[in-house]
Amino acid sequence: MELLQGTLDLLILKTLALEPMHGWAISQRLRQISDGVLSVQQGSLYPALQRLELQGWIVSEWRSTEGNRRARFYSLSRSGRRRLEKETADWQRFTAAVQQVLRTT
Amino acid sequence: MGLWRTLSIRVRAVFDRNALNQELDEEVRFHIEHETQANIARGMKPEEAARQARMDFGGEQRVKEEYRAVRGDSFVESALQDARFGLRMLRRSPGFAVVAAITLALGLGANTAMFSVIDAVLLRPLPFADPDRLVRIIDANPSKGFHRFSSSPPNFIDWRAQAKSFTGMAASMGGTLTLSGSGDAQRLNALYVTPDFFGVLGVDAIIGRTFTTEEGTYGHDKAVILSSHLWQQSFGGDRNVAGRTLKLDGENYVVVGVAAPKFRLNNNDVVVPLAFGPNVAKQRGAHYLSVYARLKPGISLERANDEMKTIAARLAVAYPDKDSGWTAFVMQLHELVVGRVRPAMLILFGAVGFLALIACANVANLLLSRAVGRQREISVRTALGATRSRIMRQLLTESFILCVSGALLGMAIAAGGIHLLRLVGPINVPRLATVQLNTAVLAFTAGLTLLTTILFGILPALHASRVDVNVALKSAGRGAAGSRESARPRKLLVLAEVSLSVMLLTGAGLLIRSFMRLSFTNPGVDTAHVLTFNLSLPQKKYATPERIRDFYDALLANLRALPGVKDAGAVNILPLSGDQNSSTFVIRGTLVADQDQPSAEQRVASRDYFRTMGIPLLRGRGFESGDRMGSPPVVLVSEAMARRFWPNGDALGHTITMGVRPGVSNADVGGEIIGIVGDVRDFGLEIEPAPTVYVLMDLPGTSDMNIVVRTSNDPAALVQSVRVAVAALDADIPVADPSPMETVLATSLEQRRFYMLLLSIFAAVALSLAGIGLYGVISYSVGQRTQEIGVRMALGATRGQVLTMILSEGLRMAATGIAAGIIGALALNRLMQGMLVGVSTTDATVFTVSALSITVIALAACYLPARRATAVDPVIALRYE
Repeated sequence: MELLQGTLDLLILKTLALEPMHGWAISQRLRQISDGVLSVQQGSLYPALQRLELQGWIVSEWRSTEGNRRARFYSLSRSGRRRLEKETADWQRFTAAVQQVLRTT
Repeated sequence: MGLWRTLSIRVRAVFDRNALNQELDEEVRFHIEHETQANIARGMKPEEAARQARMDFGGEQRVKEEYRAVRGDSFVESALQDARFGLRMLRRSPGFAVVAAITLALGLGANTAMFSVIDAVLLRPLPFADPDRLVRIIDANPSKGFHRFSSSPPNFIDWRAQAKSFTGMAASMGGTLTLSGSGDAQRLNALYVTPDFFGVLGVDAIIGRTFTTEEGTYGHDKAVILSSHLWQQSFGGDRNVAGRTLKLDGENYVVVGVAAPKFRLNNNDVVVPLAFGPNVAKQRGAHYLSVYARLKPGISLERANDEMKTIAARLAVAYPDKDSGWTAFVMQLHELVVGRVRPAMLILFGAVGFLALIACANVANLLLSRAVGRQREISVRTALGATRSRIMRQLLTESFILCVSGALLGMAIAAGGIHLLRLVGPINVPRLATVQLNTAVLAFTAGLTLLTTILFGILPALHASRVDVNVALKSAGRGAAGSRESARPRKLLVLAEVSLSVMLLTGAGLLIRSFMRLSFTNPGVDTAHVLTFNLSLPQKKYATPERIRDFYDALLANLRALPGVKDAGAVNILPLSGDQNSSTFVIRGTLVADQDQPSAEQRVASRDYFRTMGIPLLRGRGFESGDRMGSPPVVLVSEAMARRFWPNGDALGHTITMGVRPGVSNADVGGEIIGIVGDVRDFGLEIEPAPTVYVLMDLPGTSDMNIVVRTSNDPAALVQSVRVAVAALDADIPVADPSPMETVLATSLEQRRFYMLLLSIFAAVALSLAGIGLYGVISYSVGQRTQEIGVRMALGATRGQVLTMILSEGLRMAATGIAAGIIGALALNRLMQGMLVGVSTTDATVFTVSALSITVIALAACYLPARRATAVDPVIALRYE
């Protein structure tokens, strides 16, 4: 299933709300949680991360992984957390509205 | 925080592109490796796992592009691309690039240098607190022709007591003091000031204090403030200098402080209190003070002026014998300092502005020619899908590269020019020594560069991008299509260049002619082989006229005995030095009211002064040894004096009495006119000689004299023996300002020479730029008309005919430009009236020579391309059809 426009940002923010992680881990997590339903073109994750960082919602730093490799870890900033709350609320309002429409017609 | 991060990422995107790209590469590699591992763990074969990982990731290159687009470096990148392309194109035609950059550099450089001068000399405020409120109060006596005159002490005291427009009023006068007691005696420029002077100007002492009110009273005035210059030079910047005692003119002065560096009026070395003596009331007619004041807040210059006029009128009524005819007015100090040089400076600035215009026109022209020549390249790029704005940007980038290199080169030229200006600039242009390339000037140049880019970048860019692709491609890039239309703006630009050059050339020509006329003016003295220097005898030691006379008699005798010396004399004011000493006089037997007394310049001279300086005796006799103290007093008068007051030629035998002069003990000097001597242009070559009276130096006992020595050799070589001769008589008297009389003459012309030199340089540059412009247009036109010329020659036109055709095209353009330029010059040169002497602003010779020189340059500029045209081989030219 293709992602709706703009939902990738929300998913990334939500994923990072748990703990800081690197790009690959984010893509794995997205696949796992959605049980494979949401297919993200893995490459498009990186421009999105870059965009979120420019907005100041996430921050990144280079750290070592457990396997002692260098990787870029992303984590949620304070304003990112606020953003996540707002986007989540928006999303819930949106889906509720869509469901309302679907139910009544 | 967020903004800062965003900014830092954007900045990194520009300056740290490689590192960022590497980071992205590493991230992508990391991702794909992990994915591959995961796939293997899911049971895939290694190759299969890697392939699947790549597929899941998606187009790597596309991801990177997108990533970079988010980061926002695509604009920078394409700008860099433009710049690289622009540089490559410029490198391909180095001649064009170099000429354009140098042209711009000359225009910008000259402008920057000149603007630096304007900024330092005219614009920068005086270095005093709240300088806008600082004024000078100036005396004037229009009926006697004194439009700006010094003030007398009693008047100053009355002004200060009565005026209400000012928070303070102070007076100063210049003088010299001899510092002795340690090492060689040293002559110091002294500024005598009333104690509140520092307060009025708003300057403080950097060490110690300024004067107290008590130090401004007679008898308590032996205090001195050092200039920071003297403090550094002669006292090694000793911070404990306050309290030390100096021997000045043989008296002890206590150092109370050191003045701030900006306080250096009249080049003073020391400042001492100006204390009025007990008989100050008698000095109402002695005008020797400069009066400074500070306007009260809220009081306008006009109101202060009105008040001073009222006070002066009141004084004129109260003291009719001394003050009638005198008035006073208020002038801003800044205006007084720079007002005199402002017109010339603005004219030079205008001239250099013309030069910048010419330079811009020239570069615009070059770019236009180039853009037209590149029409085919541009059509190809348009056909391949380049948008108009993309092509405009490309062309603008090229102009910008030229501009920046021109500006950088121009800054170098400006820096060199300013250095040169400070070296050769005249000392009598105020604040010229403080000129430097400052930030205001940098901003100015940057603005100019930007303006130039837009001006001459847009025009050719607009032109080139309007190309009709079909026409341009069909016409194989060399046809006549569009060339007629595109030639018009270029011709107009060259026309403008030629006419601006004509204006500059006539301006420079007028200054040159005026200067030549002055140089050939007879100053009235023979300046060759004469050494001059100044001596000032300390008043305490040389208190009587007899002592002064004995000293100078002995000195002149000793000097005459020096090898190579032909003659020696003395005078109190040196011709052409700019100093003056006007005094009223009465002709015995005539009766005039005090205020109607005529006035004349008064000089104190030794017997041999006239012979030494080559001033001819026209009638009667000169001073002789029989004219001594005690014998009947005698005077000599100048020819102008004799003619003015005795038009019938009977000046000899009349007796005149000169008025009171400050600094001279005897109240009255004068005597019978025994001879008439030649006129001397005392105030400058351009000023008609003033009526002058010479009195014999023995009589008034003037302690401050200029010695003139005529030698048979180089006068400068005599300085050392002169020093020895003076020291042999009195080691405490320093020899001041030794310089050949020729130098004094040259100095009096310095400012004019400076203006002439600058304007001539501007005109010469303008002329060569106009030549380059003409050359560019004509050679382009020849290139465009190759086929036409080939056809003409195939049809039987001779080389001479072709040559004439091309030359006349160029000359027609030059002639139109010259005509326009002459009209402009006739209108504009009137502004130069004040800078010219003996030359009319419409001088026919200057205009003819200017027009001719432009014509010659135009001919030369057209000849080379015309020659090339005649070398066209008809066969080759026709093959292109």
